[in-house]
Amino acid sequence: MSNKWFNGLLILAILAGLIDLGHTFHLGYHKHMVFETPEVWINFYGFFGLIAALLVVMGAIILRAVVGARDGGGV
Amino acid sequence: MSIIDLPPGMVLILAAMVAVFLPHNIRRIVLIGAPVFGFLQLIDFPPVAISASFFGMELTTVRVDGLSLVWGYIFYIAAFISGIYHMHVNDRMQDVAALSYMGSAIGVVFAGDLVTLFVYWELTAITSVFLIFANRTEESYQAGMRYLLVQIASGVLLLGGIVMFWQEKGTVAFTAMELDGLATWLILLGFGVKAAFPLLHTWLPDAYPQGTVSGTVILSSFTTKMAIYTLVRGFPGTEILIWIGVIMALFPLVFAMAENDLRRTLAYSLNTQLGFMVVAVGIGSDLAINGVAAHAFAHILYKSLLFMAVGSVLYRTGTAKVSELGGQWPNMKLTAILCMIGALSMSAPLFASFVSKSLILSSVAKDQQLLVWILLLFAAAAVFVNSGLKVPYAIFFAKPRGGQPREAKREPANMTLAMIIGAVLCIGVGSPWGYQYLYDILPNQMEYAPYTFGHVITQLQLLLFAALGFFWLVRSGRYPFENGAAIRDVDWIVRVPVMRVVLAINAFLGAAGRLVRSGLVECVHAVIDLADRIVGSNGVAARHVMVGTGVLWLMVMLLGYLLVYLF
Repeated sequence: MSNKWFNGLLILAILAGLIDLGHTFHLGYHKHMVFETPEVWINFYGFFGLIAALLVVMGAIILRAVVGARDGGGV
Repeated sequence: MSIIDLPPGMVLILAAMVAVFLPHNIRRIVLIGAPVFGFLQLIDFPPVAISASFFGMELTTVRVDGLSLVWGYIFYIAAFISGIYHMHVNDRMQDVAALSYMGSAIGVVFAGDLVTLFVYWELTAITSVFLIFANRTEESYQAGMRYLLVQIASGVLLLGGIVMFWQEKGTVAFTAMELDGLATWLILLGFGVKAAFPLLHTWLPDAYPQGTVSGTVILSSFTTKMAIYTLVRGFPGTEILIWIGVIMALFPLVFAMAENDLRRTLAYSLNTQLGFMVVAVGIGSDLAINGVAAHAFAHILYKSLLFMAVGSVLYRTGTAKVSELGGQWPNMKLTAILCMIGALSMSAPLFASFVSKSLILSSVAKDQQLLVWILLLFAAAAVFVNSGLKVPYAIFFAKPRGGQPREAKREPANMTLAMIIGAVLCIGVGSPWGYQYLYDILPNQMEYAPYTFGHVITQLQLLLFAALGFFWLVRSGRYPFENGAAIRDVDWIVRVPVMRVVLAINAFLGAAGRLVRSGLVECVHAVIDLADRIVGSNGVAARHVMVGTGVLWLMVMLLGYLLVYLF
């Protein structure tokens, strides 16, 4: 992936995160919204996405190292 | 009874019977005509329950209601798209197997009693295996046999449960059940095998990649979603399903990422999505049941699109392995775009799953299951990475592993057309202008607006950061890492150590048997020799003796008898 595409993705992700934070702030402090579901008061979506990507790839690297078998290993 | 009055699904089964005798040109018309006819028949089918008596049991052979109709519609749509994708293949066995398999799956969702359900359930097992055998390789034969064993085991569990249920309750009506005894546990397990519950799931990534190009597309749409339907019908609100579903959603994530074979990757990803549905079945609220139905609908559309795209790559390049692909964008731009539509349909706004998966997540949130909700959110991001990003990236944009991209031949137009139809439906169902059509056919009334500012922006945030993490790993050289090696799943325990034990026991019993047999033979020979020595032509009893000697021996015997008698 070229720098141009990666930087574009980075800007978009940060922008989405900031807008989401602003939206939550708006809901919480200006509209006094009742936080009755976790959907409203948890605002770590970007964190979830980032961690999910890192964990799943790292997990796969470990899995391949532990149980990976070349050419199927007769399995 | 006219053909219009036939039970839903029977149209396809009859078409399969006719297709046995038809030439290819007419068979392919039947392949796409029968689903269209069945769909039109279903639209006109009134909400009804058709009953019959069988060996003292009251059967409801057909039950048409809001829940079954959702699955009926999407199964016919999937049958139609699969038929188009498959129609260039001149293979009578596949055509007949596909039609009868799809018809049986539709029969399951309209069965109103457990006996009718069981008949169709077994038919799906027996017919679907031919879509794997049809690949006609040693691997596909072995995978097909393993698949068949598991499917039949599911049927045996189900049959055992049904018999016990009938004895206990005096009815075989297929309605919501309580887990209050062995009977219902067996039925749940029977359903669970086909729904790919954890540890019962290995048939899924084992068998699906061994099917034919179009066979795998067909398989991906029916068996597991049919099992999800039976769970919705039989066990809504069964709490244990919430955690079974969470495990289903989580554990395949790493396997999908690590897999080299992209059809296995998609099979694991499919397992994760089934986990979302099973969680919602466990929640059991009206919103959750709507979420299962909507997500099953959307999932069939986009997963079959992904399987079709990877099947197309397999057809054109001869491989679906990450370690042999890469750099195919210039060769197949349209396939790449369609594949990316399938990938975005997993979660992104404007695409199918955005309006369905959110129903499930909202139902979990409303049920105050915070931990479950967090884990599902994690799974939603991770599954987008492990198949939504990995599949298109590995095929089309990654550096070719061999230096040069593999040569790609042209694909038949019908394959492209089927993918285009699938992509249009993925966008149509998920768009702000189309989702209401899907919501209108859901079984329960609800007020739900997926396109709120908060929902769109949070989902975008989730996916963009997931993509950011993935591409950072790509740029840092940590991915891709597939090298042609296979990944062992838990079925390795059965296929290697357990199989070794079975073979060792078999060898031991064989040796013992041979030993016993040879011992017996020697004993028999010894008896024959002894008899021969006594009564044979040269034996003692055959000798000529004098009369006096005989009298002498007789006297000795009588004397012996007298002594025994006296003392």
